[in-house]
Amino acid sequence: MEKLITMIKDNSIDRFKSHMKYNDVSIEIPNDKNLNKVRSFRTVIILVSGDDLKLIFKVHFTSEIANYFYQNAMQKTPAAVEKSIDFMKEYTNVVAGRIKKFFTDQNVNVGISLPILTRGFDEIFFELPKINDAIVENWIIKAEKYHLCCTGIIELLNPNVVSRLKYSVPEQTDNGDEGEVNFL
Amino acid sequence: MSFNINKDLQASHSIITLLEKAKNFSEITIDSLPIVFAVINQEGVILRANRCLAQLFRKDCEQILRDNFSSIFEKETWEIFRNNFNKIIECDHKFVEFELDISDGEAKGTIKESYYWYVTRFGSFEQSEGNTYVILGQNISKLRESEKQLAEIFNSISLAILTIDSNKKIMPRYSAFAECIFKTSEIGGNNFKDFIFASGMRLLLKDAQDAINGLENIFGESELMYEVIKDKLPKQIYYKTCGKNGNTEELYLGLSYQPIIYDGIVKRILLIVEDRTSIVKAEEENKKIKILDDQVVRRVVQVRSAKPEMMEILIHEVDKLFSRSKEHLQSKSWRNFANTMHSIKGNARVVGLFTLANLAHQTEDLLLISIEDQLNDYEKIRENFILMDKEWEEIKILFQALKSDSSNKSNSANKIANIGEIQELFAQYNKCILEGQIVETAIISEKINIKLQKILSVELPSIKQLILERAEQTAKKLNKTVNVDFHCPLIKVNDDIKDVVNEALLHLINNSLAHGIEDEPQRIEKGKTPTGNVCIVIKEDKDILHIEFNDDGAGINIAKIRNKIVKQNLLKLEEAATLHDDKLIQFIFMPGFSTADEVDEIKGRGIGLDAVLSRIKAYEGTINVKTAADKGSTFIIEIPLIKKKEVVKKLYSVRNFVTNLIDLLKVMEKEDNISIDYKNLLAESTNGTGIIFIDRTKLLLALTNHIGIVGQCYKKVQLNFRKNDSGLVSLILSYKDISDKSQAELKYSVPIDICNHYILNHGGRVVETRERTEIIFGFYLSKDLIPLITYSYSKDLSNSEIENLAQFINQVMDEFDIRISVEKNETTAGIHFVKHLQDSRVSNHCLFTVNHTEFKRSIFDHLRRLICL
Repeated sequence: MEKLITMIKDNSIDRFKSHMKYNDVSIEIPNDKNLNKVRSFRTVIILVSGDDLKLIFKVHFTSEIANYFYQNAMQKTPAAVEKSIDFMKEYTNVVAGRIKKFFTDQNVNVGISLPILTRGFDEIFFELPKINDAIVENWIIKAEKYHLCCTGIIELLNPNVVSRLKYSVPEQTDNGDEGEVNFL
Repeated sequence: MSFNINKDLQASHSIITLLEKAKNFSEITIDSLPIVFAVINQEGVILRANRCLAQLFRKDCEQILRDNFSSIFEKETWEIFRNNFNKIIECDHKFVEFELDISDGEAKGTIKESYYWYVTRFGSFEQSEGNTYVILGQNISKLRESEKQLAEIFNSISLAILTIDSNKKIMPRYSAFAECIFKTSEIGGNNFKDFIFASGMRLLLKDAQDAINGLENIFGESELMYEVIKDKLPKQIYYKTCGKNGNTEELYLGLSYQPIIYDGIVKRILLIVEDRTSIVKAEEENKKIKILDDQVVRRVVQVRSAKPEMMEILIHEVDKLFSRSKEHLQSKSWRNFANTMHSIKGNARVVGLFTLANLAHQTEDLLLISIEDQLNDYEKIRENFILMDKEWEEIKILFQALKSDSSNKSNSANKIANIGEIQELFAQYNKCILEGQIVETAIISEKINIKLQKILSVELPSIKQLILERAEQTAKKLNKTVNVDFHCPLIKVNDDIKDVVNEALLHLINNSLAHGIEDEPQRIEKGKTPTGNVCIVIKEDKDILHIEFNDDGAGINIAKIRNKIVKQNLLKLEEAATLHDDKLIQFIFMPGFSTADEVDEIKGRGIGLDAVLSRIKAYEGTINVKTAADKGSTFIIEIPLIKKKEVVKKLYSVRNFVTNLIDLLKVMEKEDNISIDYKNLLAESTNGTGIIFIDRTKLLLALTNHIGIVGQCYKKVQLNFRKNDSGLVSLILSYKDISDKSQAELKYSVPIDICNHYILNHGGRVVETRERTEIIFGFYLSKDLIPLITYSYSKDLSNSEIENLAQFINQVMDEFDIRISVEKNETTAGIHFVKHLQDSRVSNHCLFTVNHTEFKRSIFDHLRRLICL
């Protein structure tokens, strides 16, 4: 389970670097244990789900942050905040694609949802999984003066699946978009 | 299969995308709401905020997440917010609503914005934020500003605007002016009927009372019910305020009603109250003015109808009556007051001033009721008298304005000329006072007095016309006819005596016509002429005025008097039966006694003869009655022309007076080239102790004026003293070589005329012949009457005090021309003045104080007694 979370974190960082065009990023684990508190104004959420597990990846940001990352990646000012938001959605999507690839490569069949934009406030409506085989973790990807709050939630529907999964820290690749699955 | 799944996913994704857009749109809508929207947790941390709230933080709405809501408030204000908020947290309220100001952004404490807050529970999220709450805040600053402006307008309207709620109570919010009208700040919460209508309810018509009761029950009823009562609701009411300090004020309030209707049902009533007191009073005043206008018209008609010569006489008479009435009113001499009212009434009726006569009649009525019922409430009498007084003043002004008759003009011209002269004299008088010319001031003062007396002096026959008019008027009213013979030689009397005669005769005429003279059928039946006869004869003999009033009527009904005496419990039956007729007749002069069976405006009050007697008595006169059944009655009145009380108003030494006179005459001789022979004058005047009983200064002025004028007309004036057997002393002025022209000038000389009047009025006399005038002005004391006064003083007196006393005694001796001897009596404590009077067989010891005035007055009183004897 821990490895799965690490896998998600690693993917989020890896894809962050490639998507946001940052090489120098760091990760920080906040002390706050109230995991599903309202963290920021906006949240993009994406679900990776199969018969054996359910995985949710969320990023929390403000329009300012989204604009900043967009500008950094695209080297241009977004025409509207929606462009930046789409950019953030795309980020979650590539992270989810990498996660799906991870599972598919190990014969765990999963699908990914559309990345959905919602308000940070909606966090209060999300209930944490009540089963034991679940894990929730927040982390912050820091890049220059801005940072991105991420949340990973893994719920194992088939606990045996964990033993089948093997994860090692991936080597840095230049092809940031490898394994990306385009969403519909 | 895979293709189908992809299609399903595609469809799901489409709908999710749509929902996402919809949600985003909702979120943007909330963000854009023009009110504050926030979701906070129990600690006040903002979980969701819209743009409106973010503006209060001066931040973007994305940036204020997790800020604390309290930071937009000042500390104290947040406490209030928190207190309200806690009602939901702790007291389980579903929501709270309240108003609270917040400071505008950074400028805390400066600009306040009013907000209306609505806080409600949002939900409990144990796994995330715990309890959450929705806050809605509406900026009502503009509303409050508008309210404030409206309130300013509302409160500046001088109307009480009240709302009555369904509990029939006045709602707490009302226009500020309401407190001004109702004189209380405790308006809200009162039952509207008790508060507004209680004091004036009984004055309203029954319909209006019913309408108010209907209004009380209108709440919750159909507006049609209101339509039924609305026209009957009172538009104006009487209202009595109750001030905190017990002061009350009477108001007239104008009312208008406006129902507040929802769904056809009357929920509240808007009541607009206007203070119409000043308007109502002005209306009343207008009514009064209209009445007054009517009165003015009546007055003009009455004054125009009156004969001008009669009015001239009447004005003089009634003025004096008013003056007397005021004195009686002030001294509360009600009987005398009633008499004067009766006289005013009679006088006014004679010339047709019926408004004044009616007012006098009303005053009489009020007075008699007060006296009979012992009400002691004379305020109405006073008020009525004030009305009379005003009416009289108006009559006089009007008469002066309407006067057009040439003779009147002439008379007025004389008076105006005199008044003009007096005004001129007053101007001189004021000038002399300013310049400190004391002697001149005194002389001018005397000249003014003389002028005034000239204006006021009248001849007794002048009353004839008034008497005849009265007789005619009264007879006409009583349907009788009367012939009045009036005989009066040219007798000059002072004004007061003329008044007494006038009043007495008016009353007697009234009385005679009311009670004595029968109507024509009765007279014919008795074998008399159809017209009644009254004969009035006035003559003067030995300083006594004799008036005989005779009528040929039925005579005084002795039996009727007797019955009335018994009926009025004045005497017992047996006493009345045995009382002599002469004594019985005297009862007709009793106050309130009348034999008339009915009271009307002419007879029945028993005031007339009482008034006659009291006036005559006041002048030391007498009245006697002779009567014979069916032959008539005779009233004989005697009035002394010189009142004894007035004889010795002033007392001075003749010798001193003559000395003063000679001094003045010598100045005149020198300045006016008058030749005066006063040889032996002083020697004669000092031959014996004499006292003048006329004001020395006035007599001196009168005589010098007299001699001055005479001196212009004659070559020589000789002055002598004469002392007659009765002790009277006189100054005789003998003239030589006078022309006719000078004689005429003398006759109309004001100072001489006034001098004569003045001397007459103060106990003296003037006897004029062609070549001499004798002025009797004093009294010589016979030897046995000269008082010898001694005084003693104690040894305690210092030498200077003894000297002062001696000086004073000398002054008194000089002034009164008497001798005062001085004895030392060292055994007596204090100072004692002992009078030894030669006429007293026994020494009359009197104790005086050292007060000089007392001593002087005592001697003065003694001399007065001597002269009166």
